[in-house]
Amino acid sequence: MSEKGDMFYAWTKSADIKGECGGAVISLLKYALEQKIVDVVLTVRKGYDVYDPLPVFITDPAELASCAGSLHCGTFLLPKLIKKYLNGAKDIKVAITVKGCDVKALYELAKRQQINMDNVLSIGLNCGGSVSPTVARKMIEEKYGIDPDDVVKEEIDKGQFIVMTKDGQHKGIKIDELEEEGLGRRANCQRCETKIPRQADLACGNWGVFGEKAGKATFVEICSAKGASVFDGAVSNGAIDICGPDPKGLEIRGKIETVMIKMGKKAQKSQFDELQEGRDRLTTIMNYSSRCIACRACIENCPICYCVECSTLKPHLIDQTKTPPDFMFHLIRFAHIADSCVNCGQCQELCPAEIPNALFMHAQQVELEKMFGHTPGVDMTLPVLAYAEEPEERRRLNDTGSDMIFENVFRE
Amino acid sequence: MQMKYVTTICPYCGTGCALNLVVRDGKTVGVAPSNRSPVCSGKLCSRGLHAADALNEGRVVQPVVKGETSDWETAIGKAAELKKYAAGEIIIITSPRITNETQYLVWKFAHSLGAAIGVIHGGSGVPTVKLDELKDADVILALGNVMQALPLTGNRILQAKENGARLLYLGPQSYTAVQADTVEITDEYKELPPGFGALLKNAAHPAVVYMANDSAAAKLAEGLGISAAVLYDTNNGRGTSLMGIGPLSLQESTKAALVIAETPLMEQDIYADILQKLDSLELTVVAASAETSLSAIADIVLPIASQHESDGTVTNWEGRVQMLRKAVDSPEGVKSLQEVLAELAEKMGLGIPSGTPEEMYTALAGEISAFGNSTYEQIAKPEGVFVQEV
Repeated sequence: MSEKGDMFYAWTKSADIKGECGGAVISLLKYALEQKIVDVVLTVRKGYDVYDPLPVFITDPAELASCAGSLHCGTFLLPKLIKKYLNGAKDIKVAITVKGCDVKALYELAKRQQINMDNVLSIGLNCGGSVSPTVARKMIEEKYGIDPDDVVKEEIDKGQFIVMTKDGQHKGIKIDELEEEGLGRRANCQRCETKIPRQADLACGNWGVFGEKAGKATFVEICSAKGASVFDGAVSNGAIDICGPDPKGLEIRGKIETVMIKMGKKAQKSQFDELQEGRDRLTTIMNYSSRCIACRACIENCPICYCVECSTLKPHLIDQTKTPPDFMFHLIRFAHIADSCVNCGQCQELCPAEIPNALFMHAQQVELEKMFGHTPGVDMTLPVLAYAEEPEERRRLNDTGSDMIFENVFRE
Repeated sequence: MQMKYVTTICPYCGTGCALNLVVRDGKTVGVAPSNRSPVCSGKLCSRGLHAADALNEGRVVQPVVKGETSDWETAIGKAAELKKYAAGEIIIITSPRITNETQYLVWKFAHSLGAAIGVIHGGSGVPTVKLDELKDADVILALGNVMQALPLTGNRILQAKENGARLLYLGPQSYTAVQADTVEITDEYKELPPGFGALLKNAAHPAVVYMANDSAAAKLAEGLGISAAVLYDTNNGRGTSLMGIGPLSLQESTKAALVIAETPLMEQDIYADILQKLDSLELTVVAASAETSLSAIADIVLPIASQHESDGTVTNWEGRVQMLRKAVDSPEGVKSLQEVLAELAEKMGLGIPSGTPEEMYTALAGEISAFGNSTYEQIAKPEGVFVQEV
């Protein structure tokens, strides 16, 4: 029997699963679906090509084999799909694969009662960052001198982004070098410190698979009792085989994580420095924000936004006829989200007006964390602005007949 | 529960952003980004974000004859009375929002009948610059509020500005005016303000951006002799234009009309200006997926499939032909535009081509040389295929 903190090498026992690192993740998901531990698996599958990963909702275990392999162009966030399309897992059991930002989003949604975590099995995937498909194709064409359509596989290994062509050609370039030219991983990924998502039920990846199992097994860290039970079940059911990790592998895994977290902190410093401070920072933010077309893509895709009645739609706060909207639009977003921002990058990546929203929000989150001590996405601790049952709360405030926040909120 | 993503093209403007329709148990329930799209990299504007329900509201699901619901046989029979009119008395009014393949069929239908054909809210003009090339311009002249009309085209102008480009603006107070470095606010533009000409002349890569249905802008732009981004503000306005279908002109002699309408939510009523004229005709047949202002004046309404229920291709303003994919089935009782045209043609004794969208594209490519450089299969890739210059 395994328990939280235990670590293993695991690999599939099924000949049908061709995972690149042992196929343990797919086997665990398949086991969970077959045993009806979950009703649906939310994961990612290659779409048109390697630059086109797409979320898939799988109910037929046989379909899972097609989801094997990692795709670094998968820049989207899965948990909000549980809220949007699976009724917040309130009446359906879901298994989901999660990167660091995904699992943090999962917690923030759960805190706000938008997702029922009791019905979610989360399988964490180590993530060193993802690359936008458009950037990936441009970079492969310009920096690698390779036709992006000829690439059949890509991977990140030893600090390099490596592509393999259909003719078997390999080419790798140091990520640092790419990122100096504005290519490489998304800016938010560069700032990220969540490399091994231990908030999930299991944390899986290829870091630390050393020795004869290298490339043939998945490193699995048990992170919760739920994770342990599914993992043990998959072992006793014969879905996966396991062995203890090589001590040298453990050391390597720890080193990779430490180095990447350091890189994340370094990127934070340089990106936040560029934003300047105080009034200068405000001016920068205001200048960029004046490009806003009020499309609401940032709100639509933010894992923190959940209000039924969004304040940015209230005419007494924001003139709904103006484009760009008043800066108040952005101030409302900062006030509501900054303390819980998980730096998933969606508000920036999906902004048609190229506003570095995630950079602004993350820069504020880091400061708020210093002030209030709330770290978003690590556990179920509530942020400064905690969840309120919205219609009920609005009714209560309305009934007081006063608009004084102190009277209404703080004086119980 | 069955859920899937279907990658298709936004039904709104002529930028041609790809998006994923989220389909649950046979219904479109949401829109997800298509990060793979070279046009938009997953980014969408407020209209694209609402594409899932854009075509579901106010659906017509039964034929209507003289205000009464009817059956298909009666309705097609009545609509076929179009043949009673001389060729010069009928006009086909098409929509710039139907696929290249169905537009081709509408065009063939008009030809076979010998009737005039015009598009409403289409446009004309040939762009000489591609979307991504706008990023490399060093001086851009925007005529009118182009950045709000086509937000993801506006995105490239913002990127150009980030690369150091200077944005000049001529037009009414607007979003684009706010983004510009040099602004001349005017309701009509007949000539360039002083200074604009020199800035454009001294630029290494100047470009002018205007709407395809803005004739004043076109006139002004032509005189500049620089790269022009001519923006069509419908998803297939350019494809329609490439087929030689020009802006609608209603004649005194017109007595009957066949109107093809596809009207996503949140769009202005494009028929308001011609409603009175259409009302005065002896026979107006409307084929539409949803209720429009036309419903009130139409003698016959034929319910057709919407974009989300059809396969085919559309051409964005740059001339990029991209694939639309059927996401859901049509409601019971609704037919595809192709079926409706085929039945009507048969009743009227006209010959028009028939076949799968792929076969129709091949026929189109054989007839209109701009499309002659690509096959339907090639268009399926996320980049699509650019039409060729002819």
